[in-house]
Amino acid sequence: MNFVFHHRRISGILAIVPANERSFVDEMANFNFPVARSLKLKQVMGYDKHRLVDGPVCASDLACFGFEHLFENGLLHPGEIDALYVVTQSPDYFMPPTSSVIQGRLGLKQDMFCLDINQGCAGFLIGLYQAFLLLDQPSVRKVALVNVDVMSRKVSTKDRNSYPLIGDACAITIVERSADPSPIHANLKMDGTRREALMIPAGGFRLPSSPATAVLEDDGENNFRAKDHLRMDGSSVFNFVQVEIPPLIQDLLKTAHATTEQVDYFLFHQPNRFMLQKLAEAMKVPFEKMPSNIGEHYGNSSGVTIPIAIAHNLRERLGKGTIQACLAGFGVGLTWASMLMPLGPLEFCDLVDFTLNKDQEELECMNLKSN
Amino acid sequence: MPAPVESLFEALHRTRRGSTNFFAAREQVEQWTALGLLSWVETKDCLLIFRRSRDLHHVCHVASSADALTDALASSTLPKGPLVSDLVGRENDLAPMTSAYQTAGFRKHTALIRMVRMVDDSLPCQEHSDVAFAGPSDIADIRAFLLKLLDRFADQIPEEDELRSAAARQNILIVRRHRELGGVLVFDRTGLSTTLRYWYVHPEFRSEGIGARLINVFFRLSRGSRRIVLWVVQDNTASVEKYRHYGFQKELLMDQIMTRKNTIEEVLKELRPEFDFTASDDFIGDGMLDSHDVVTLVSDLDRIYGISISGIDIVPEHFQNIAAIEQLIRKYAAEP
Repeated sequence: MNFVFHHRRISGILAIVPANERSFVDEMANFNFPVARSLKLKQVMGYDKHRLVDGPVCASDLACFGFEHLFENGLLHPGEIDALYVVTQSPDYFMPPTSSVIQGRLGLKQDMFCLDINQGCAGFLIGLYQAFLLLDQPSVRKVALVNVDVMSRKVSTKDRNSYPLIGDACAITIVERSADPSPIHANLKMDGTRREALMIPAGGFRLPSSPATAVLEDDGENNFRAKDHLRMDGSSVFNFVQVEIPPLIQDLLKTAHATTEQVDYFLFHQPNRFMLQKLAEAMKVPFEKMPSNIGEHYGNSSGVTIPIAIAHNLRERLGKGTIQACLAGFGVGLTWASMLMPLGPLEFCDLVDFTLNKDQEELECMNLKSN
Repeated sequence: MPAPVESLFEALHRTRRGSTNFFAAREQVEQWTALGLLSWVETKDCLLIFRRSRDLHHVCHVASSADALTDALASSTLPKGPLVSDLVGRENDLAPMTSAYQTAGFRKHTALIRMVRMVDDSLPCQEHSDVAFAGPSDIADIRAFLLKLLDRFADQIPEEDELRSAAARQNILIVRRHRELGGVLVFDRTGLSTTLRYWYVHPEFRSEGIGARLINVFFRLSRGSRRIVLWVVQDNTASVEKYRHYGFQKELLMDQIMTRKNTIEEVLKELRPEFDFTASDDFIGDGMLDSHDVVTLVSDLDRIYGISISGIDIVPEHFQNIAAIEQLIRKYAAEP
């Protein structure tokens, strides 16, 4: 389905990545594969470094760290936040919502809208659509969209399908009304019949976690994972992206009466270099217009990769100027979505390292015990 | 490290030239050696010379006989990756050389024939203001342009240094269309002959008469020579006709281009040395290739065959066995 929005803008992006950096070369020994094969894969897929939380760090820890950074540097005032949307697949708890946890921890006002959205790799676009819609209400001036995931805690270290590419991260995107009336075109498709291509089978009410769901099983390709772990049908997901994304973008550009040449950057979700380069070839887009370098620097942090791609590659440029950006996210659900929008100038666009604040962690643990 | 160029010249001098396809001028050999592109193997009666060009090697030989060549090709370690060899001569005389290469796993790729035109008063001779000599700043564009249009096996793709010296000799003509190259013509002069090496027009600008203007200026510049020669793909009747139109005539000389590409079996073997890929009809089902191997294989095939397999085609069915992979490569117009 197609959407069109007017008078909307992104005014700031802050990406937060754990300071703890791991390298694929160091982790190769965990996988049951010859080193030569793993090294070849590194070259093709762009596996290199990735950022993972060190210890029991939760989604709200990364988000609160980011908000405090913004408050301390005068880039955002707590009272300005009229809505807090948290897009995550790795919430602190089943209940309460992670958005409520963050609201409480930061001491934000009561006169606001907190909402969790369970979405993954298309989560940046889904979050933007929701934020754009809420801004129809005059009482809402600023929406803080949080994309956050700590999926490394749900991936088997012996799963070469997922572990080398996973990354943990958070992004805070501030969405506001703008004076610019020019339309922002967007589209979205969903297919729940393919819901099992990306899933964590156990841990919900359908199959609660138990000692049995924690047992590592061989997937037949020498990858070992339990039902408690993330499982990804790599071939199906790859095929899904290659089949669905080029026509999605083609439709978007057609609706917007735009050409690929008019787009300055194709800022897509960042699963791995190979997948993005094959997409760029199919869409006849030069590689330099479609960054594919986030996986190799930070890992794939599902809905957070697009804001990281922006902060990592374009932070200088977006401080001053405007680019015509085509965004696209695709993943769990299955869900695929794209949007064509002018991006910048941004009031802030930065990437900071997360380090553990001991006091915060103890506070959260105490809360949990007293419950 | 390449051995010093002098030792190559000594080896060339030592070997009796019963059969050869090595005709490079000394200056050219020195240039290639300086760039580290040449390596060679010497057997008792044969010298094999390998010239690296991007991801393939050109193979040349100087042998006392075709039999000596067959032995040398069979017993020497040839460079890894795709190989190509140009065998030049009269069609009938080429047969022994061709079969020597075929014994070593080469196949006929394509054949070029030579066409000649004498320079006389009937030669068209016009000036065109948009045809210019290429300068140093055009070299990178020209090489990129040629790389895109040339058959990497049939054409000798010139290195940037070669283009730079050709431009300095005013042997490259170009037409620019805005910032793009509309057409390129490269030629060589040796003694009383002028050789037309490349004459290409950008596919987007083919209806604009760029080709005709380039060749007219080239003809004017060829006035001092006695004849103009060129090589054209034997089966390319459209080009052969075009040259006939400009007064060129076919000669008996032929360039039989032989190639040896990695077989798909070799590529698979390098990926998973532990398996015998000729013994299975279902690599995926038999657990010989997993999804990551398929990705690595696609990246290898793209590079080796100079193709770009579309993401949509990266599905298990296309990688089930050697026949399926061959069919996939053929779809992208590269003969496996």
